[in-house]
Amino acid sequence: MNTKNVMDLIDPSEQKKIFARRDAIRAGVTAGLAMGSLPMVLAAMAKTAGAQGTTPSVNDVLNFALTLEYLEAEFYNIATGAAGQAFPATYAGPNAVFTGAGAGTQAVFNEIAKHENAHVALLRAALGGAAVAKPRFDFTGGKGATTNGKFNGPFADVYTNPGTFLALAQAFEDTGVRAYKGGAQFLISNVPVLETALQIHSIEARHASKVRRIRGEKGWITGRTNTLPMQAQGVYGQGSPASTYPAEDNVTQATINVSTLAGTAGVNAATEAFDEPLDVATVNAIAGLFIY
Amino acid sequence: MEREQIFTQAVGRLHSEGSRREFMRLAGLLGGALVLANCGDDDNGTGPGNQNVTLNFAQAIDVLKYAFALEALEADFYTKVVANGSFNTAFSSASERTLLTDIRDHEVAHREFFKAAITANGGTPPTLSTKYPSSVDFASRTSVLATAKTFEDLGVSAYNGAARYLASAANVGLLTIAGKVVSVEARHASAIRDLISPNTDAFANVSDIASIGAVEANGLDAKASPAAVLAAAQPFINQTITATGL
Repeated sequence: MNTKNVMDLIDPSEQKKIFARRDAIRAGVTAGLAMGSLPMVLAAMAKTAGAQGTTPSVNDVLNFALTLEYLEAEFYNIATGAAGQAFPATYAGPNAVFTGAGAGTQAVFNEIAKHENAHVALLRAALGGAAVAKPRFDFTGGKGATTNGKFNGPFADVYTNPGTFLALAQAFEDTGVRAYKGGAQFLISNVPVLETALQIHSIEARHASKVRRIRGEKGWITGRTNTLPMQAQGVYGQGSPASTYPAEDNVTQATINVSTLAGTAGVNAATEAFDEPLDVATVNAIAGLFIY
Repeated sequence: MEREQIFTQAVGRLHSEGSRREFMRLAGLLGGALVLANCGDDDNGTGPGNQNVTLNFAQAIDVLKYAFALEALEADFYTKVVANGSFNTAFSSASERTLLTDIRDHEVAHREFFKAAITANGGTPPTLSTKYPSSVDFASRTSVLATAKTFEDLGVSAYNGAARYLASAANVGLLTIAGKVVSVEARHASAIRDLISPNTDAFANVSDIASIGAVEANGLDAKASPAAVLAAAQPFINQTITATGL
């Protein structure tokens, strides 16, 4: 008696028409469709997602992810020397990222670097000839400007000051989690790709939790508390549109205010218990600080 | 014990006449968008309070019930951890107690959210109760953390493996919600693993959970089918939960 979701049986172009309507549910009923899916609260979110206008293709999302993975991989490879990365002459040195940063910190970042390099390889393989090239990065945030041959952006001490390095690592990991979460909705046409993206997504969350804890924070995000440098204030903020991509202090999920449900522990727990997605443009604005 | 009362929900009775009327009423409220054929067997009871549960993954509301069941188990576990008389001695570090209390609060928030979402969509959360094998010692830090690690990694694998049942335009909102939850479970898993093996690669090295779909060499986290996840969770749940429509 399993009834397949009728939407699955509809020609994609027809689906697009249906979801271009302001109210997907009403559209389904008007068309005489029986939808084997959640009709009310959660479908309201589908409407929002479907009303974005420009929907990125699967390859668009994968290239977006690949760019973030390039960024993370290079950032960590410089610190750990992974993937044969020598310390670049364009950064102030010597590399002191793991000096006084606590026992085992290098082992932690070796593991993270290993994953990010694996993600780059995986995404490049999936994209084949459609893969974007690795951009140029300046992790000092100075868009490649130099003084005496060294990048001179606001994070000029990124590899000489463990605190700066760790703060940027947290920004990259928490942003990565939000980026994959926001991208998943655009991968539903390709289940294997969707699943792979989600498997990367939760690995990034494992990274984020550990980096945050090294910095003395909780592994989860409370409200929109942001201990990162000024330039990274957008990491926990809202995306565009905010209704689909709320800030991390959001307590309302699918119209349900989680903070006021009986038995729950209130606002902080409600914000910590749900991570929020971020849209491509907002993520690119954050990552763009380090690309030139 | 009082938590078990919270844990217990009213049972759906979709096969009784009254429930059929209720269903039709709800279907009307939902704009007639449901078809009766979608109405899965939510219970084939073996007695009051001990109804077994069948989840039909072809319908999104049963994916919600799946999430509810897993979150209810986790919430029950951490509630018992924190409420245990030995909590302060088993976990002598205040920061570890805070961490476990936070996780309890998150799992309760997840459980209550899914319960509310099921109800808001015209369903009834399944009635479930927990049991713990004798190997789980709530007075032992080692035992609690090992069990917590199992639950968190399993939870990650469950959400990642259930996404395929939400991969449609109609269910993409729920897919995003699942994504909001799974990354928090992964944050938990990382922290728990780090308490077990501090400041090593254990927080993210998933080579030990290849059996539930993780691929460490590719940096890919766990992903398991509902059938596999339910088989792993079954020793902790009194009711038999069966997955169909996979």
